[in-house]
Amino acid sequence: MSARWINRLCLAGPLLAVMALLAPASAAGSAETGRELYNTYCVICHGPNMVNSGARAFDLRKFPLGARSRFIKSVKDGKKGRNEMPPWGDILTKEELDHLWAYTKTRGKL
Amino acid sequence: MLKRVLCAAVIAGMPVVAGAQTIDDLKNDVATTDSVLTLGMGWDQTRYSALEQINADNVGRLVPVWNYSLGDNRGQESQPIVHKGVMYVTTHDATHAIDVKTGRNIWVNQIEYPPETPRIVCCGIVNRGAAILDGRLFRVTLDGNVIAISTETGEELWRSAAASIDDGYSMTLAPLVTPAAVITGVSGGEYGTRGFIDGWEPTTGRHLWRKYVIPGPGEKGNETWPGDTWKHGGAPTWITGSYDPELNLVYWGTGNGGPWNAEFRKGDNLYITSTLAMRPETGEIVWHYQYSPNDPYDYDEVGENILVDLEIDGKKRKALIHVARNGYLYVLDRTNGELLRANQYVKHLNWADGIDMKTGRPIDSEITKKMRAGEEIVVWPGAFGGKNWFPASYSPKTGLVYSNTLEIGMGYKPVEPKLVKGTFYVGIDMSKALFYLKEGEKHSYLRGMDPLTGKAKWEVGFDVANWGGTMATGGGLVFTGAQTGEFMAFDAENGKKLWQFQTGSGIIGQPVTYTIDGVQYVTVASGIGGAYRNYFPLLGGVNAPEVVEKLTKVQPGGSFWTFALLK
Repeated sequence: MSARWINRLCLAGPLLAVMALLAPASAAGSAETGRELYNTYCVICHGPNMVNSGARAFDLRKFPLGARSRFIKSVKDGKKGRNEMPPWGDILTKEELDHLWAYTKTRGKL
Repeated sequence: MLKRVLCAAVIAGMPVVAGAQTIDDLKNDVATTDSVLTLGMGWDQTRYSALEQINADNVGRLVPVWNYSLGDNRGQESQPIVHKGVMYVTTHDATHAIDVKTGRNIWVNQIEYPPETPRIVCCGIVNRGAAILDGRLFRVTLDGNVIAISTETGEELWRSAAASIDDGYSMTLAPLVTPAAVITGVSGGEYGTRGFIDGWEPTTGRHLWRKYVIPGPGEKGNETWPGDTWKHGGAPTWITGSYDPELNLVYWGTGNGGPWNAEFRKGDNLYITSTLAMRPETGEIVWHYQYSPNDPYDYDEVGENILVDLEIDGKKRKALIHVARNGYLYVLDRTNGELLRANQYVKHLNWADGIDMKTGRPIDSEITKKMRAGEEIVVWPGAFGGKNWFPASYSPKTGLVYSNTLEIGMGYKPVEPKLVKGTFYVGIDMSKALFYLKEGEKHSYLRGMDPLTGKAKWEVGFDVANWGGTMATGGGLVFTGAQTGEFMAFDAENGKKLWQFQTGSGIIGQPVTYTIDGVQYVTVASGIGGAYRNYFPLLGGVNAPEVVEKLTKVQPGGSFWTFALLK
């Protein structure tokens, strides 16, 4: 193995370690648990299986799949504007938010 | 000299606030057509005005005089108060004083409430109006406060906490002013609350009394609740009561049992779904009539109790008319609660086989028995009822009750309820709670009904359900609004539509009429919101997609419209 490769591994090592740490955070959410939480807290505005016309609440099936942090912030802090949403940060834990995100990514088709 | 007069006024306990009005003014609200001082256009809540300048012959010349923007996209269910040329209106987060002649703002009082509050508000972020007395305006806040505001300056005078959002309570109703107290109720029947009614001192906001609608241990009626179920049994009190000053009785309606799944609270569950006749000095219940004991279907009976004297079976009776959410039109003797009439007014009703006139109790149908055994059913009327919150009116001229009514069924499957803070505590499978409409039929009718038979002399159907109040006038008209935006006038005798105007957003408000300098005006709020707008598009249903499409096209945006005849 050349020194160059060793150097590369040395650089990649911490990066992989960081990725390994990060991965569980975003992948830890269980869509099944998320669905249960959704049906407890969210269904009454966002609709069974996320189906709603958008008249009362944002149509979650249109939420950008790459915008995890925006999702978490919206649920924690609430949203102003046309489809105003109350904050849930005092009730839902970090883990529960991850579960909800996992379910949201299914577009309600779990 | 002026000093002496003012001094004498203070000594005599008379109000010296500019624009003040008295209890006697409130009592005479029906007779004084140049003002609207009470919710329901009189303590009797007939929502009838004797004014006849605008009538069936000339209503075609009705035109808008002004439009006032509320700067708010929530639902507008507020009834205006009009006093000495000033109109007082409310939204969920503001109170506005408007110069009726110009439509211009005089003052606005903004309200702030915690952003978490809407979590425990099931059926629209709304406020239904204010009350006034002696230069003070009283209103509630969504997060559970009763406040008084100076009618002159818009400044807050006092604020008293009635309920906490942390316990699932919210407040949306207009207070009721009686000689003894300002009276308020609470919302929250879907969030594990225990309903109550409060009395407040108008000058200071001092708490005078509280009556829990569900009796606690040791109180009569608590035995109708198994175990601890009384603690979260619902019975909210979210619509303003009416008042008979001669009998000195307040008539206040109570809401659904909680959870909806009634197998978890076997018993009559006093005093859910009832009319309570109460003393305004203490909240003492003098009599009660319970419409749907052990109600499983969310048949809140908070809606208006209309106080009129009627000849019934050859006898003049002090009557109380209640167009019940459970699909029956009731007439009670308001001196003692005796049941005089109970007739079905909706076409489609399957939860009961009628009302036993001896006991006053509904007779469970086979459908209800199946549901109680745990089966999934489609119940008619569904949870929206045959009539929801929107108030009916009564014309002494025609003898008819005018009400928007509903023909909507609902899928219902009881499941085990779970009490979780900030969420619905209903105990039904929400995924089965679809709305059912009859194919080829309308699901909303404005009806002119005989209170003694429940039969409609006329009816007019609508594609999207009407969710606003009605008002009858001496000019032979009935006014109401559509959620598709049209404000409409109908011939009170035959239901013929005589006039309409598109207000821009959906109407779920309560029309009023009054004169300024001898000219008759009509005012109504426009601004879609409320329970139907919340849930119909959300839960959908059978034969419903076209309705959902029409409903969701209506844009939000709150404002008040005032109309007069084109000169």
